[in-house]
Amino acid sequence: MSHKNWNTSHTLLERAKQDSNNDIWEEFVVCYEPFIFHILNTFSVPHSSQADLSQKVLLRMFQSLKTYDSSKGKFRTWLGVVVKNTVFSYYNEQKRRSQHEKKIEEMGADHLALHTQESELETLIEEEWQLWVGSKALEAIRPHFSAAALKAFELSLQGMDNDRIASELSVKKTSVAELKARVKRKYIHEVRSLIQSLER
Amino acid sequence: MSIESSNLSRAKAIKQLYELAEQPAEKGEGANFFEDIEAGFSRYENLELIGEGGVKRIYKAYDTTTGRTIAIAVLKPEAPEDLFDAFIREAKLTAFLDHPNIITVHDTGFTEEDAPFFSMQLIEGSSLKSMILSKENSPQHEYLDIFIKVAEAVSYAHSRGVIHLDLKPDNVQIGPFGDVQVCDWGLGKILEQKASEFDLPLPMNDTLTSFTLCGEVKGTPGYMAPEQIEAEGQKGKHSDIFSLGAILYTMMSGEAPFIGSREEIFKRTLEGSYAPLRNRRPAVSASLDAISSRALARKPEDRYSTVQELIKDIQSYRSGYAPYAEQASFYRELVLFVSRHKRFCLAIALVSLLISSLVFSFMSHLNKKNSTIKNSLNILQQTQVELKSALRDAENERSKSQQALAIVKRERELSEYAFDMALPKTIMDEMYYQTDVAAFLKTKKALDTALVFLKAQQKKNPSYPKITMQLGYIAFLQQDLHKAHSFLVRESTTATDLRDFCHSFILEHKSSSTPLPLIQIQGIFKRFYPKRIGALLIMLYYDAEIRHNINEHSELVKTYLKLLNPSWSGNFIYEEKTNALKLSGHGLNRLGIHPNNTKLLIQGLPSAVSALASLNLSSLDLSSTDFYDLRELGNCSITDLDISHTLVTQLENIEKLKSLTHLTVAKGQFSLAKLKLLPQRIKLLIAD
Repeated sequence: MSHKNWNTSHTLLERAKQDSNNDIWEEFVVCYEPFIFHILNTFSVPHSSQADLSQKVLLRMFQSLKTYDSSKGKFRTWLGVVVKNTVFSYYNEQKRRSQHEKKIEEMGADHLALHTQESELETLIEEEWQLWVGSKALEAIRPHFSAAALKAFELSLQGMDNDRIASELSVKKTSVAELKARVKRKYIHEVRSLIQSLER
Repeated sequence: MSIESSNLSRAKAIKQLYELAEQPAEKGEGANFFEDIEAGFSRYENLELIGEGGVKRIYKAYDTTTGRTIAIAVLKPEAPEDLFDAFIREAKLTAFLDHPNIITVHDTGFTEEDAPFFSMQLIEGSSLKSMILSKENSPQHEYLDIFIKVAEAVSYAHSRGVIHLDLKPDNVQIGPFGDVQVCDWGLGKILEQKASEFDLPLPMNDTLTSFTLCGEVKGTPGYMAPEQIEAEGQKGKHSDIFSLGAILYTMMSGEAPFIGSREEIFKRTLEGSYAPLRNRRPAVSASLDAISSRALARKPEDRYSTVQELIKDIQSYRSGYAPYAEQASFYRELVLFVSRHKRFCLAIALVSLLISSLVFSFMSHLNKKNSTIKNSLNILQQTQVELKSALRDAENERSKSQQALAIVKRERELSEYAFDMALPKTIMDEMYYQTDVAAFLKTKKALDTALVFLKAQQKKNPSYPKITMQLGYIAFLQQDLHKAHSFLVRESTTATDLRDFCHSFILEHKSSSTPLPLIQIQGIFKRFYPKRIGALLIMLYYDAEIRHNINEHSELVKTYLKLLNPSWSGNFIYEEKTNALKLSGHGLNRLGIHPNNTKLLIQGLPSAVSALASLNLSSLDLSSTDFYDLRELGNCSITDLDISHTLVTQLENIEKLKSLTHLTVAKGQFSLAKLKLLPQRIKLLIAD
């Protein structure tokens, strides 16, 4: 009854929606765990509870995949909502389990709730996802370019204009434009294929 | 530009590029697209000659741009230059026609030797001519299928105002899957009324268009209409209809209608004298004979007036009606009617026979019984099918519920591990401050303090698994995996990865002493990178405090750097005597980590902590590497730093290196203005 044969042509998310076996779960964890850790690090969740919380988040993502439809909404928006909800319910559960209810306010390494509004958090996760995909793409294209080309691209990302980049790198202004364009094209291509494999 | 604003602009730019990539790719925007489009001939590779005509050669070639195999027609270099235009014209004319049964032209241009070429769809298979010549006789219906496709293509071309003028079995290609393509539109002509739609670069002057590319008489004897031979003949759609008739005739009889020497063929074509189809091949039906005769009529006005009429007649014949061309008698129509409705006529005869016979009732009875049996058989079969599918459903359900069970189980396991968080906030804060913040700065002291603190807490609150777990975590950082294991298995822990690792470690090693051998620590680094990147750095720092052999420790620093810079393959030269480190090679740009990403800073940490900090270096030589971000040196206490010929362009962060006294830069690396801003304590050295 399994659809193994035609599964291969589908994306991970599509397959995970249809069939929740262990192989797919593991593949899913490999794909998204690094980002979840990144997010937990970003929010300074203590190292010791990261493993547990990341498992929770991944499991929740996996189970709520059916609520995600790439043709109807953006993956990052969905991701923001799911991650945020899981993290909040995680902390709420811990509070509930507490036997010293009176002290709720003083308790818990509730870094998230201390520092951030709920709605803000969704946007933050969404933005972190974009930045994270960007940094993955940058890592992937790195071996294909000279240090100067990468540097030119990096500086242009930081908002530096071609004149200044040219003088920083001691190259001609026209070559700056060319270097930037080459890296940018490859970069966009890479982001696009990451989106294709992680969000569809 | 301040660092903050450039970081903001960077995040914004990355988001914009991401959103751009979210849009579907537009033509010409994707990576490598421009690189691949190279105008001209160089995009074609592996040319292989597959055919040769009077003035052109046909090659099979691989198109590197689109990644497919195509055919290329190239005008022979010796062809006179006034053929160039006619040749390109053929390509443009063919490209103008867009029909499934007309060969597709992709591209035209000039080769490296300046000979004109055009590329087109490659049809592997054979020509209709070789199909007719081959001894195996194809069934008539196959031929008619092909003929209708050829005629449809010609009919389409006529609708676009184009006539072919050289239709013959040679110019019809049959692909391996029965696809039919009409090719060689080199003699094709545009009829006046449609010429405006077709943007040709040259005037439609007849001396050129009547010039044959094959260097012979225009058209092919045997298939050419009489008006194509006559000096004053008016060529038109009717000429193509004549050629179609000749093709049909050849398909049915195996020979062209007009045969003999060249001159004889011309003469017979002009006279309209050829053997009727049924004389050559008596088995051919009268209808097809009539159709080919009408198409082959000597006078254009006696032929079909459009190709559609010809197609309609062939189709009438195929569905059993008399073609219009046949002008069939009543008897012929009756014969055709019976043959068309064989089953119907037979049934009528049978039924009347049954009525008249006495066995009718018996037969009907038998039929009834038969059908009852059939019915019950059907029901039986249906039940079986239903049963099978129900069984399958049940199995589906079972495996689904097993999966659900597995997930629920996993979740329960996880929530059981969700320790109670009843520790007062102050305790939690102190605990995390020591292990997650202070541990980066004064590692040994922080971990020792945390141990004392946690043990005291444990006596007071023995029921908090969180404390036991944290004790296990600290023991792990201190390389005492046996001790770590004893804590981590005691309570249900959330650090399952550490627990499992320690578990397999103690199975392998009965006992161990700290510091662990290098190879084991390196194993831990590789196992937990990048998931526990921060913990590993603390572990590295702690290692420096307990490992007395600093050279050995430097090996671990090197391992950590290699993990941070996967594409780096340069040298790591550490000199214990002078306390100096030289790094070289490409791909090295990370020297540390940023334990708190931008958003929520924990108080008291520098923006980055460096993997080199534990070496307590005096001097660091980064010259000629790809290093560019001084922040990566974070908490290093170096006095001498060489950044000449690196990609460092900003010196703002140099102030944060509090103990720096000597800085080496390359000549011209920084503007004088920038260098003037350096703190007084730093002495500048200029490298060549």
